[in-house]
Amino acid sequence: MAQTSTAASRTLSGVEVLALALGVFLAVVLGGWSSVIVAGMVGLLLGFAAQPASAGVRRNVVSGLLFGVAVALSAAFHNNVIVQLPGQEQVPAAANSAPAYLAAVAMTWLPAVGVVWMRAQQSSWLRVYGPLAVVLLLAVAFPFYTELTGLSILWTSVIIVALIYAMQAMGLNIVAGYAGMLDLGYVAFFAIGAYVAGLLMSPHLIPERSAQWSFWIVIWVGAAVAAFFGVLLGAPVIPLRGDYLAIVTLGFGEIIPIVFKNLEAIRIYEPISEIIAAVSGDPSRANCLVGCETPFNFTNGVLGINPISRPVLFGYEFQTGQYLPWYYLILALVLVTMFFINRLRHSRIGRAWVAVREDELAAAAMGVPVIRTRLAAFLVGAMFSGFAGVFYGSYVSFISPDAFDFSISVIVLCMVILGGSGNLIGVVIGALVIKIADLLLLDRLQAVLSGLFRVTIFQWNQDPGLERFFESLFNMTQYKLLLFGLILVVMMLARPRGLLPENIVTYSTKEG
Amino acid sequence: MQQTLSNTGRFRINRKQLRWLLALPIIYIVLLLGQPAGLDLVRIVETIRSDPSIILQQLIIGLSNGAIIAIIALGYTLVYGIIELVNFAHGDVFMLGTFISLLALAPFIYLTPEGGQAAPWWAALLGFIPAMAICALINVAIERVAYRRLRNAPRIVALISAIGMSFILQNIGLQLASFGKLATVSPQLQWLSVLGTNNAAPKSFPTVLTNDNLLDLLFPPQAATTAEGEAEAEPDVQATMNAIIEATLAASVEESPAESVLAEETPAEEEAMPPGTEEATPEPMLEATPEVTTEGEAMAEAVEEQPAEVEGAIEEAQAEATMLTEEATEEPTPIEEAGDETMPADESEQAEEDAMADLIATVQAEQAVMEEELVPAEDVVAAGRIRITLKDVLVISVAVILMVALRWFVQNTRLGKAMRATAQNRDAARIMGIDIDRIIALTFAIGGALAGAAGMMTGIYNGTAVFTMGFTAGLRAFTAAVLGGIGNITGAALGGILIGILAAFSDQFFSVRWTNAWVFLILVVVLIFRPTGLLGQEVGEKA
Repeated sequence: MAQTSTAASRTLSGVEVLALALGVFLAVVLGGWSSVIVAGMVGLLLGFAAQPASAGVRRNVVSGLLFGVAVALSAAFHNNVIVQLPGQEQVPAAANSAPAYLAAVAMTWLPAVGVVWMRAQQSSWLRVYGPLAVVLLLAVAFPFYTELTGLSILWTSVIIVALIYAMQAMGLNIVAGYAGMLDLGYVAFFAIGAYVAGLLMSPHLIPERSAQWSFWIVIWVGAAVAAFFGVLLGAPVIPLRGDYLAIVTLGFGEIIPIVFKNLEAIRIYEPISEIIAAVSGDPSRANCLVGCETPFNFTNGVLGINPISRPVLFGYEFQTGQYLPWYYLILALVLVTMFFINRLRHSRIGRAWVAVREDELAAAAMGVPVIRTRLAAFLVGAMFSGFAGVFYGSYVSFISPDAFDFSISVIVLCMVILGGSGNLIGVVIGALVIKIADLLLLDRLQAVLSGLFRVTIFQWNQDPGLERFFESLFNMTQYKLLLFGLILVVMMLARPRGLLPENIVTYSTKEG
Repeated sequence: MQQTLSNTGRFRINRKQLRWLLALPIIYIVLLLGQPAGLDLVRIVETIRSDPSIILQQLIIGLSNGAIIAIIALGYTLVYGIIELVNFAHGDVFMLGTFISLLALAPFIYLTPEGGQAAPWWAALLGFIPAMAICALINVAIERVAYRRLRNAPRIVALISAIGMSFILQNIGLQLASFGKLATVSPQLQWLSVLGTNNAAPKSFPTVLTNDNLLDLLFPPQAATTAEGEAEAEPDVQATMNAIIEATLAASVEESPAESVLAEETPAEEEAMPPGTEEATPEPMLEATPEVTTEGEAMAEAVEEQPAEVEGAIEEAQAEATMLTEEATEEPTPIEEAGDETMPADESEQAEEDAMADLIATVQAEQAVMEEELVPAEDVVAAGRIRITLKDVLVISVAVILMVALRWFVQNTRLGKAMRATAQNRDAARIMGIDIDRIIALTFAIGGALAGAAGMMTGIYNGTAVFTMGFTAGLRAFTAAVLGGIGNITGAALGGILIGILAAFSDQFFSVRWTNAWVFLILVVVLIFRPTGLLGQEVGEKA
């Protein structure tokens, strides 16, 4: 009895407070069936964050329930109060019913308790793979969830984009997290992958549909080309110090999109014959090599390449707007990537990356080939970005050089840093959090805020100029850059190793 | 060892010659692959031959832009010198400086008879004060918030923080324009209308100084009449004139009456020209018509001579010209279809409108940036007639004043000495009783003030402000700082001017669209092969 009371009277831990605040905030802003998804996320977070001690289980039963109720109440608040604000989405009736709220409670409670229970078990199999299985189950069931509940397809499409970024983030994690080289031009490899897809899978260069390459081949070609460029651009920067390396890669990252933007009218003469022709005044002597009749349009410039064909699997062609196949494809890619990178991390080369990051001199002294190790990091990192790029090109079916600017590099960097550089799970969570915030949360927040303004300030102020001013100043969708910037600065000041720091396994030479 | 290739004695090739032999294929490949990027030697030579004064004109434009870049670069170099941090946010401080300058000019705007907006020159000079002061404050605040606690952290950590700060400032620059919507609220706020109604769209500055050619004022009636009266009969008169003017400028001799007399005389005077003007001698272009104005027309003219050869160049030029309109009209559609945001179907209309407006604004911003870069290249008035405006004079002289003042401050004052000491060895400086925090804050203040001044200079010279301009300007300035030797004040000034001239030449002779790529390439190449830059080794200069 005494023990229970102390357990109950213990104050909430930091993570729990964070989870509660996050859950309540998200449920208030998103409302509807989204609160069920939010509840599931919060529950998982709680479960993983809690100490899997025996006393923790009882406590988590209580706190899971409490949090679930909090989320459900917030959702109810959104569904009944906030929806009354002007300009809000209608909540489907099913989302404003007792089952929905009970589902929210259950979705917080079940994963929290389930994961904690599993992690408290003796059996190592259940302890390690049980929670993973829960996550996997939720991930696989996710689209059905949104479809069954009549929730808009918004979530699935956002998660697809988030997973594309997660793949990039995992690749950058190898370069920046494991090998410790800050690559600010990472978007270059993404662009290369996307352009490989664009060139091989669109009518731009290959007009006949039948002659275009299959997605399943192009994804490897794209990864290979990106990896090649990873080595090509990585090789010269390897001797550089940290900040110079960052700036040089940034330079590369800016040059590549400029190249794609401008390679739209290529005409190349053989230089020597051209000079001879100019000197002799006889233009016919100039040997034309490329683009003689009409300049060769390689990348179609700023207009981009459109349409890029989609993957075909067993005769079924993926469609734009049908998210299920896309979702499972990218989920599979992400899972395979995670598995592969995880194995790589614990292999010889993975240990070498960390060794070089921690102390280059010591690593070299121990016989680690520093240059080759770093090149390998660039190669593998670029490769995964190439995969992501091909998928992206095929998914959106349209690429233009403007889609690959510096901010993409920084967003991916944000994901790595937020989740915890070096921690694979953390990086994926970072990608999900940032993209959900970017694509979903800010928009909804904007709708809620503008509704709030309409019932408050704009009621007593009739000046249209002032109204436009407030609308514009508090337009949350305009604060994306601020969001990313704040994440970077705050993380650097408060937790430079990320929310979920990498746990470095120490190998002991002593026999234990 | 030197006879690496052969020991027969006949083909002895030493290492130096071998290097040259290796260089040849590289040059060949560069010439071959550089063609899409505008590296077309024949066309470049043709352009120069048809109007040699282009070189001088671009030099002047490059000098003015380079002066602005140099002033921004000083901010990078000062901060790097003292705490070894690449202050990534510096470019965005400059961007905010441009906006503050615009706001400082705004209350003084009046309408010119031609319908344009203008502001008096004294307002611009006064405007330097708030721009510099506020930017100094911003930079000090950034240091206090984002860098001070990271001073002993790894460099990468501080750099990431700086990137984050850069994004935050960009967002502030974007949202600053929201205040433009207050313009209709009351007559007292009317002046805010310079910020426009669309946040992301570029804002244009009022005209502060005219585009009048100072050379027209200095050589007034004779130049005009000879040029107009005799241009068709004897084009070489005009050409001679230019050669003389160029020579005068090149030798930086004060314009004396003797030369104006020369100008009145006939081509016979050609031999009397001062030496050093060979490359400007206009003999090759005797047949050429003298009223070539822009690159495009230069090509058009060239086409008459060699139609087959230059057709492609013409097409390219046309494509370049039409690209702006194409961008404006065609680009929104595909992005709307398939941007990575994957617009949800049930999004409210307002948001969609906003997105659309953003999109159009971004396109406009890009267009404006392109135009802004295009404008100086088109400033050439008439063939061989170079143009120096009051803007050039003002920008260059302000830059020189600032650089000299900075140099004096760092070298001759107690605080400057403290700065140099801190840069050399922070701990030792602290032991000697220097308040490190204050000195670093002072460095940031100076850097910020310079960025603010550069903002006003850009406003006067280029006349546009966009919230994204900080990134490109910042990278160019950082390139300049690195090129000159980061941490070195003189180096930053030198690098800035070099980058400015290079960019102007690239705009003219390669292609506007590749200029950024060339600049970034320089950044990459310098950092890889000579990270200390041109003047990097002078430790004593470091401040």
